[in-house]
Amino acid sequence: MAGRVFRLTRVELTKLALHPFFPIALLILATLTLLGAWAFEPKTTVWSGPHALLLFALGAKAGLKIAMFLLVIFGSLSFAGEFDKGTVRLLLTRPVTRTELFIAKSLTGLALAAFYFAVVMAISFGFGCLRGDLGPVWDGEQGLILSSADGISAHAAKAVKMSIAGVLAAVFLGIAVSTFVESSGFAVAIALTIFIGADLGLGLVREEQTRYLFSWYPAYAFETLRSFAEGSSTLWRPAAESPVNLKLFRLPTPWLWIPAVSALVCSGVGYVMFRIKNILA
Amino acid sequence: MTAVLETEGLTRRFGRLTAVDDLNLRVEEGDIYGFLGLNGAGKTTTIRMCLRLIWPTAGRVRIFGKDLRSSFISIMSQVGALVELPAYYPHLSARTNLEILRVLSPGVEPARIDEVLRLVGLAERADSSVKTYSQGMRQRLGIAMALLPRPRLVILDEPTNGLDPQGIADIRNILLDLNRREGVTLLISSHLLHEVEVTCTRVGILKAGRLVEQETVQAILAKAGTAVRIEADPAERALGVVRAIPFVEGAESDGNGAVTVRVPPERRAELNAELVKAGVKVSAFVPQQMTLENYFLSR
Repeated sequence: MAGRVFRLTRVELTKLALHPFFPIALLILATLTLLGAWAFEPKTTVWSGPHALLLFALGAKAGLKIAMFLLVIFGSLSFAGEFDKGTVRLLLTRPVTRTELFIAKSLTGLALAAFYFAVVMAISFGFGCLRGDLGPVWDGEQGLILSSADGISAHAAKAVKMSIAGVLAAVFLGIAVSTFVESSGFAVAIALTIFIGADLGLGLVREEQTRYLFSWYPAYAFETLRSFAEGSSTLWRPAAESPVNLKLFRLPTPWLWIPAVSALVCSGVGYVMFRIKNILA
Repeated sequence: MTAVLETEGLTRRFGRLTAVDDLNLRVEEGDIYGFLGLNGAGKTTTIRMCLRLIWPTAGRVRIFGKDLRSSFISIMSQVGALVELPAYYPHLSARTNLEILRVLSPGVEPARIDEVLRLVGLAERADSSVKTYSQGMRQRLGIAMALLPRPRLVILDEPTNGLDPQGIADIRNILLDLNRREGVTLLISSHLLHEVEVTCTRVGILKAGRLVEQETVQAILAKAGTAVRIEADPAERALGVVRAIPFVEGAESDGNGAVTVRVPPERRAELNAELVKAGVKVSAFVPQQMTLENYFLSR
């Protein structure tokens, strides 16, 4: 089974790399990440530029939001695109099982999510280093160190760690939708509506409840990093990182378990739908 | 003879509609099996069930003597298929499309891609993207994909769709060659009854989801017997007269003043006499061998 999953994943990665939307999406992601950092870049004073990690946070926050949109789109195309073209028949009439195909598509989605995450991190950090200064966070007016270099670096590492699971989870929302919608256009439309709808819905619920949505964590993490890099006395919210003690077991920190549970639920639904589906495409 | 593909009580219902009903198909080793039926008879549904693209409501499929459900992987490594329209990644070249399938077919070496491209006549356009291909070229690519893994059993659903007469003849020759030289068993669903007659060794006729006939082509043609094509005036009267004759096995009008009558050869003279007696003017009386098409349409 492992050999077949490996071969399928190789095929899926090849198809992804040769997909016409792949370079376009990469260009959009890179441009908007840069734009996110550049457009909100604070004014440079005579003796001090903005902190590099402030620019990094601005770029990463914008870039990861775009990356999640793109991952929802690519996830939606994963099965629906095969149904659309009828190529699912090609794949399933080879010596591979549906389970193996689903695993390969999921691994490819995860690889793409990790790649996008790395691209956003590299571009925003590169831009930050180019235009800003590393080191401690200064109070420009009074010449005080508000946060040491080690302190702000630790916050940046925490923001990166806190946001990765949310980004990875986004692809599974698209995959789940794509297993029961046979038109790629519809699949993308439905998945994006769910994603954007859930995001907009965050504005309607109490702040404490927003943390139950996986897409909240990347934005929260880099918004908090931005505050730290501006010298604000913001604190990380305990509700976003404290483990939850249930009667029988203890859940890890919400930034990990909420995206993980979202991804598991989406992939579980997607797997069952694909497994029982009659391929009429 | 060993059965390469057999179904036992294969049934598929979609709600109240029974698309395939208690089907007992048997394709023997070395057969070129023609799977015939009108649109909606259940051919494609059967083929999809034989490839586990559709789950059967009841019954089972055995290929190479193994149960398809429990031995899917080992069976599918020896099966090639083209189901309905050829499927491909349009932005990729034929070579890349085949490479994708090759990676999923263990034991198939890269040189096989050039081999099948040459076989179906696509070698010169192998590196062009498939979206620039004509329908006939796409059909050829679909056949190349089915043949890529050097299968023992090839299942082709309407393989000559969209091909010009030369293309049809080319594909027929490729399939006959594969069958004769490499002993590949073929299951072909087609509407081109003349093609089936000249290509296939055995046919199965599906009607409203049920298998109504499963015989060798020779046996069917022998059963179909001979017919007489009569040009008569008035043709409608001639049709009425012949249908009333007890030894006539069947009669159809072509709508252009001719009637085709299935009648035992030894009673043709009696048939002519009956027409004359009934006052029908017969201007032509031509004995004919019944074709598979005539037989299929009379079922």
